[in-house]
Amino acid sequence: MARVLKYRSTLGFSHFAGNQNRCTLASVGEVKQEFPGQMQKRVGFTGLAVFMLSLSFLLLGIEKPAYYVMD
Amino acid sequence: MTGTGNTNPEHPPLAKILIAGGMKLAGDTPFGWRLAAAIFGSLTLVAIFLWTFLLLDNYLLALIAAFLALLNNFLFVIARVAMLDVFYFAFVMWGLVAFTAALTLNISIGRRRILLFATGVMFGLGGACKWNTIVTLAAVALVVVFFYLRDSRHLRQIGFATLAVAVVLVPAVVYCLAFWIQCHRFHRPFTAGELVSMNMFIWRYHVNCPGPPALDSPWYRWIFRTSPERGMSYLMGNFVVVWGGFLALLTCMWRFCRSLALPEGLVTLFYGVNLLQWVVIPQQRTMYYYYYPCTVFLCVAFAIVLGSMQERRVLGMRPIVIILVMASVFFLYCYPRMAALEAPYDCALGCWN
Repeated sequence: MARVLKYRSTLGFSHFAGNQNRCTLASVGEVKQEFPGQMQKRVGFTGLAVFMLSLSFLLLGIEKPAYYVMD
Repeated sequence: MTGTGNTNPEHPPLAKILIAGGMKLAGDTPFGWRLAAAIFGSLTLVAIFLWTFLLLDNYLLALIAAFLALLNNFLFVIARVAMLDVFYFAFVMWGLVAFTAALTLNISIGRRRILLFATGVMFGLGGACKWNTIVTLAAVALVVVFFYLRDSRHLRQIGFATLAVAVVLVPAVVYCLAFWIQCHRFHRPFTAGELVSMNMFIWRYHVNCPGPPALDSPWYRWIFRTSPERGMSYLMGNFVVVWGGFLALLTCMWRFCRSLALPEGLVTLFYGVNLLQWVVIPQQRTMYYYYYPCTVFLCVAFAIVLGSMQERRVLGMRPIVIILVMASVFFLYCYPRMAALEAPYDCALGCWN
């Protein structure tokens, strides 16, 4: 286990438990991250959903003539 | 839009062109004035989600960062008024997405180069909205130099010349091209002299013009400010997000000093440059809403720290759930004022003195 931990630390994983795939500047080897196809789709759809939902929310009541008025 | 001349020459033209585009699309109405800002606010949230995902490789934490940004009150207010900050910062965030993807994804050198050029384009567009873009671009250049000197993240393979073109030349060219649109529209010559003249005006205006005294707020008061900015939709940072995020940022800073972790380092750097720029910028007055970019980095810092607390329980609940509920409650409390709801809804959750 100690050898595994040492190996992982040389790859630059800063937090072995619970935070895999964390990149560090101190990495000796480069940490590769690539979206698998499914994750790429999921992230893309989520991005689109975030855009549509937040835009709908931000546009609520935006048609008021003036709502940032000095008082 | 009406061809009556540039009545607002104290900033570069792109954000105003985008606002005009919204008005062209939806009419010269309150909805048309603010449509483009709302679209760019939403684009900023998508960029926050993608940037956090690239940094942490964690889908849930990326969503949490975007959700916290929506609840931090700044994005909600800024994206619903026709001001320039939402535009320039949307480009900044998309530039950071492209830059971080170039650093972290396992892709070919050619694609890394394309992403770095996209970074330059985004920062150029951001600069063409508001000059403050340059501080984040300078921080990006600093990160590039750091990794280049360490021979890390494939930057040596990309080449110094390509890096210099992507981070310096491309933003400058894109910035200048935005002025071409303005010159073309107002029948002005697009020459070096004209460009210098327009930019000198921007500089002189901001150095000499004091700005509105009613909105004046020094930068060191923004972090723990407790009173709303009544002159701007009762803007007041969500205490849960901006104060909790500030503590999270201090944690990130400490972690970065210990382990040189990339996500912690980047949020600390970008928060720091966006706040401390106001120490050196020779502008006579500063406004509370200038804190907006910093609050976005606080949300990402919060997500990073919450990610490392996923196993913990407070009163039998995950800290993430508690924070999201508290942030939502605070946002709802502020919502009637920020959204200018009319009576009786304006005081539905308590009146503000």
